[in-house]
Amino acid sequence: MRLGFIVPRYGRDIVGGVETLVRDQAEHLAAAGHHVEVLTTCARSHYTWRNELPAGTRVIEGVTVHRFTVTRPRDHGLMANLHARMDAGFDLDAEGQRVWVENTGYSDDLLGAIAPAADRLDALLFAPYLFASTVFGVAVRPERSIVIPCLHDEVYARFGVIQDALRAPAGLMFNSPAEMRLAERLLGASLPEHQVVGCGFAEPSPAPSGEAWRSRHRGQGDLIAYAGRRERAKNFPLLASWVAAHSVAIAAARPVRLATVGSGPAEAPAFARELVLDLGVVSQEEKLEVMAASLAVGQLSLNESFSYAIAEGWLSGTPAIVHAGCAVTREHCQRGGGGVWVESAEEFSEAVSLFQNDAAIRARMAASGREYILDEYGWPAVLSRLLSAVERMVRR
Amino acid sequence: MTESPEPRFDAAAVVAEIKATVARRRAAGDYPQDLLDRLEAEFAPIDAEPPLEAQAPLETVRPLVSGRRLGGRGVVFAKRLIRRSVAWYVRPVTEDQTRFNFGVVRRIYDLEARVARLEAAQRGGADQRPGVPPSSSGPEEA
Repeated sequence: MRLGFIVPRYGRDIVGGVETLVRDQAEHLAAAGHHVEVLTTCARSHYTWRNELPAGTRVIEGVTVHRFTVTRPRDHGLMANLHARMDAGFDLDAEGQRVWVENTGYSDDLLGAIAPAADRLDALLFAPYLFASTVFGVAVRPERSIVIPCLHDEVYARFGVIQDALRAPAGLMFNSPAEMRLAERLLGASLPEHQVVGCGFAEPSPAPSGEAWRSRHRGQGDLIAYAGRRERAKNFPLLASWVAAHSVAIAAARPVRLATVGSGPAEAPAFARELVLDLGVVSQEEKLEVMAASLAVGQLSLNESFSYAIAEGWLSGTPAIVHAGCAVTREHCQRGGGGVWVESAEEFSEAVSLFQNDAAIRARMAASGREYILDEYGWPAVLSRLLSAVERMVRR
Repeated sequence: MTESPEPRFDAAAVVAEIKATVARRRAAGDYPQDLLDRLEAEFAPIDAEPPLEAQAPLETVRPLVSGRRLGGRGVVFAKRLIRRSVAWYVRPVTEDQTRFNFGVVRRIYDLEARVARLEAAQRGGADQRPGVPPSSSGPEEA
């Protein structure tokens, strides 16, 4: 099969769930003998959208990657005003919504390359749902387009211009049943053909060793691991605060630290800063080692369509602590049995204490989560679902 | 993919155990209520807006960082220099805006209180005279 992914940013060093999902799927499809192309921009940052990577075509890990320059630079003043309006609870009108989307890495050249790509490829897969490449790109050849929305329950998901883009394509592929139910609530009967495909995982090789990491980072004590973008939208400051509540006030005799890997400034409330171990962007191997060395992976984000972090934690032998208010991560923990869901600092602290005191339950939960992720989201199952969905949704 | 509700490990039982422990320790006063109240005010409910007055003051000093691996310190130093050199211009503007913000917030709260009093008075009048619609002129403002 000949497939094209259209994604605003692409590259091995770009942190983010969507970026990882597209890169992993593209490389696994290519390794399985399919022809895979990626159409993307030259930007690395979704804040600045500066053209930092060279335009042109190159082959990366068997995938043909076409990069195009962002032609409408982000208007930071205008975006600040639009966000101030939305934060104050005001809706954006249709024009405001369109302008907002145009400020998310708009590339005339990339949009111009979509029609020729649709002619030479069997299907175009757009991800995620809220960027210019998807919102305007789907309209070019909707009958050949599938969107992998990576949908969150947030204000952008209610923009008319974005909902129109989600109704237009031949199909939608979701990462989890909870994300699919959110789309059904938002779009109702007008939802196009859709299916849960999910992110793919394999047993890490070599198996991550927490001891190896600890031997290089001595004296860290008990750790809670966090991996991903360290930002407020992911509830990172809340996680830091709950770690501090446990370590400073509730269970001061058995404190834990928050070992964080990923991008962003890792800003935490003042009273929690000393407990944050900022490891920055590290290799995939080291990230899994950090998780293996930790009591649990802490993931309190409410904006998840899948959550790589908790799945990678299970593959590293570590259970998860997630927010009870996130349908996606809570469902993973309920179905997989690999973690607990909490909704207050006290519950978080008791979960940490449980994992500190009961190594057997930690191991059983992590093993249960690992079995769930490999059964339901192992690469063979994910690629099979993806290819059959493409066949069904986009018929030549 | 199956959507079987059968969990591999009964995590719900562990969550129930955690909730029971929290309820027991809360009742016993085991938790540091001051800190938890502060956390509650800052973060919960997670998606709620902080109080308006917390958003009213504008901050002119934010953390200065650089993502560059090489020369990052120089970039931060340059940013600090620029910030200091324009402070004479930025500070009065933000002070004016902050005064305006607080004024607006005060008036919003006054209006909220006034509406609440009017609604309470209207409900009270309706309760006292069941079946009789409230006066079209409304109750007198307290």
